[in-house]
Amino acid sequence: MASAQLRSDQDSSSGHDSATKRGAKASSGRGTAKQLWLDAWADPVAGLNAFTNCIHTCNLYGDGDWRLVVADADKKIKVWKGTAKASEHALVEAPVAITSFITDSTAPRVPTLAVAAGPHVYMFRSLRPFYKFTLPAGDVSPAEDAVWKQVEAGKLEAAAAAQQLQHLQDKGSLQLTARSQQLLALAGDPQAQQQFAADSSGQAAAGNLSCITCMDAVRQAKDELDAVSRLVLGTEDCRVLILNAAGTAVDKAITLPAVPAFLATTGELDEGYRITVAARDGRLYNIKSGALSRSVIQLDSQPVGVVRAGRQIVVGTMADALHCYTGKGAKQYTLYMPASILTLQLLPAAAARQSKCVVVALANGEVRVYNDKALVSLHSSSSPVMGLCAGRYAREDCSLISVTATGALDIKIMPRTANLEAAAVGSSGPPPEQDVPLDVPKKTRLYVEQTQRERAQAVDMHRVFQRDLAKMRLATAHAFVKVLTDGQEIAPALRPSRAWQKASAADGAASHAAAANLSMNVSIQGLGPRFRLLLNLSNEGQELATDLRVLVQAEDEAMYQVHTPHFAVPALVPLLQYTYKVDATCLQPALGAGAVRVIVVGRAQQSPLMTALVKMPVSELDE
Amino acid sequence: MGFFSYLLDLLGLNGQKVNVLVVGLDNSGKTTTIERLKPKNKQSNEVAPTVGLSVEQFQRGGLTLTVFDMSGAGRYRLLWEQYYLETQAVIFVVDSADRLRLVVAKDELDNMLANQQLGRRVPLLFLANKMDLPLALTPVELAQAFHLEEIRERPWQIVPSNALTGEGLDRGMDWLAEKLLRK
Ligand SMILES: Nc1nc2c(ncn2[C@@H]2O[C@H](COP(=O)(O)OP(=O)(O)OP(=O)(O)O)[C@@H](O)[C@H]2O)c(=O)[nH]1
Ligand SMILES: [Mg+2]
Repeated sequence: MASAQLRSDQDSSSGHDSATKRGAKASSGRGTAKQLWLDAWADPVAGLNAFTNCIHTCNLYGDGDWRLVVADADKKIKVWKGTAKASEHALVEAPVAITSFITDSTAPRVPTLAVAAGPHVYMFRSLRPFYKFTLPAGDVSPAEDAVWKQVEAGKLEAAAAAQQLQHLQDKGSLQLTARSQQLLALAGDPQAQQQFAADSSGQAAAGNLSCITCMDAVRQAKDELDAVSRLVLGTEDCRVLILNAAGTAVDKAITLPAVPAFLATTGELDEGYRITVAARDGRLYNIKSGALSRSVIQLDSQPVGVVRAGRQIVVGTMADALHCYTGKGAKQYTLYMPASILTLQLLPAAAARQSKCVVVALANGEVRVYNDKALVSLHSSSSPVMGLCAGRYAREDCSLISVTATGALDIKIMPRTANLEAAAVGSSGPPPEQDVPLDVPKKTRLYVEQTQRERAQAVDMHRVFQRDLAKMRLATAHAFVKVLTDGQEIAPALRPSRAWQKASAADGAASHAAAANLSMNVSIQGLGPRFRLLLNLSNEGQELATDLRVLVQAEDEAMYQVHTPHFAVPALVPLLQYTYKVDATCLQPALGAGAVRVIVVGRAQQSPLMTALVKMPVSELDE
Repeated sequence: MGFFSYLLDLLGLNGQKVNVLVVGLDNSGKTTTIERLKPKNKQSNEVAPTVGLSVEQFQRGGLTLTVFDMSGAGRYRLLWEQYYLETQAVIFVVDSADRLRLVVAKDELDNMLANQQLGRRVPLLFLANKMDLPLALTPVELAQAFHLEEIRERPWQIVPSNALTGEGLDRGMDWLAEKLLRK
């Protein structure tokens, strides 16, 4: 009973939710937001293939003219200066992320470019290879090691080794090394496997190398564009690593419960920093000055990007929602987008008041800028934007670089006079209707009389009200007792109608079903006299419920004929819904409507697990 | 020395004091241009990005020029408008090879033209600077990009220049001197 209440509560709240969802969508369309950006340059045939992680701008040569560096999926670093592509450099592996950091404070502060690929970070100074950082190797499990040893010794064919490795993986207890996984990925092609086994023989010595999943930089001391900074890496073995100043060794490692997918950093290493990690388990973890904070944020869906806007965390999810949380994990607000979110980026602006702006790219081609909750800029691109980079480019502080699904490059610049304040855009704040005075009717005689009566007889009116209230409470208690004793009366069933039923666990009986937590929902189809009852049964408990029987009886046998009066339900798996159809024919349509009782019993149990009395609708006369 | 400066000498107008505002985006070559306009012995070859603004006074073509060399960096551009009221001429320097920021220059130009404080008859000299660079746009292309033809009231002229060698600067300054003289 109580849980029936709960269910309907949930139901109505989700209804409410979707209503606000629609409201939010509608109101986001209402805003007067238009494009604030200046269209500086567009190259529809740039041929770029990169996501947000792989697009970066930095003062590459230290000459004050910031270049665009794209780590393209075709294993090339592509550098743009102004409107022209300046150079291209080959990479050994497909990149996963690119960023830059400044190793020391001696002038000139030329940033070191870092490209993460596989287990390595390739570092460049003025685009010349400079250092290759490799993730520290983890331990290889002895079983896996033995398989590879045999392969190396020539005792085992690669295909057979793959089978053994597959077997190890299927046991599920250990995480295979990247090398083994690659071998397994080649399954079905023994030749390629053999080739790979031979080619990768060097990797064995390196041990179990993890892979980098994401990368960012965090500043050491002060919050400036050319401040000394360090690399932060997220790895496939569920760790976040902070490298030393030179980027040659791991300084600090923090282990998470899941694989990090996106990183967002804020603050400075010396004065307390925060790293927000969006992980593959759909949760946000916070690292606060070197330790994993206990507040974990569970998202409604998988994250597609996360940014730290000052103290706030803004995360986009696959549920088309943009959530904002405080650093402590308290939800601030949620904005629902009209299409899937592809990526998002922080819009860094020199003026601190603007630093809360977030740029969001949607699957319908829209690119929106939100300042807190207010939509301050909106423009559309012909093809969805896959990668965004916002920040300084060339000599302008605030530019927006986007790479679309078709490989086009688009560069926009925020004009100096642009106002990103929500108030300036007018998309927030009270609606204009609020200032229109309500048309309040004049005080009529009736109204005046009523008021006088209320004043004169306030005590009596209060008493009457109290008596009615007590009566209603009594009626409610009566109904509750009745439900406890003989099942719930279900309101006259409309077509299709819903009524939630819940059984309280029968006590004592040693059956699976005893602990079962069942819920049933009956709906009726048909105009009569032939009806169909749809019984939706689900097991809300944690355990499997087995050996149930369902009885369907007409209260008045002469009134309804039930075609399947009883049937067996062998098993109910938790959290799945099972639907059973039961046909019933009204024998005497002229007599109006009756009721049908549905009883669920467990095996070897005296009292039913659940009963429901379903009121049938009045059936139409059969001609 | 050009023809008009010669004329000025003749008419004895030598020494008329004129405030000239030099604006344009950062790195467009404003300071370099001003160095080149100065008399030979006062020129210096070292230029660094201007911070805020710097004021120079020198004689040229019979005029005493007070030149306001504004910084074009984003955070200093709001200083420009504080000098609109007292200027008699504006030199707008454009880096004609900086295609990316053409829109930014255009935006700043529009801001300036929309400002009421700038006199309605103040002549505008556009210098299409860095014409020596391979990717430089021609003055015609720049004029189109800036929609200069829409400037009706104020006299304007666009001249290609190279501030490193001083090429084109004489032509521009002669035009400006002529406009100032007409006043
Ligand atoms: N190739 C070439 N370079 C030029 C030319 N004019 C200026 N430069 C160079 O452009 C750079 C910037 O010149 P500045 O005069 O400092 O630019 P500015 O407009 O004063 O810049 P801010 O003071 O920062 O607003 C310098 O390195 C100059 O040498 C030109 O005509 N051709
Ligand atoms: Mg200067």
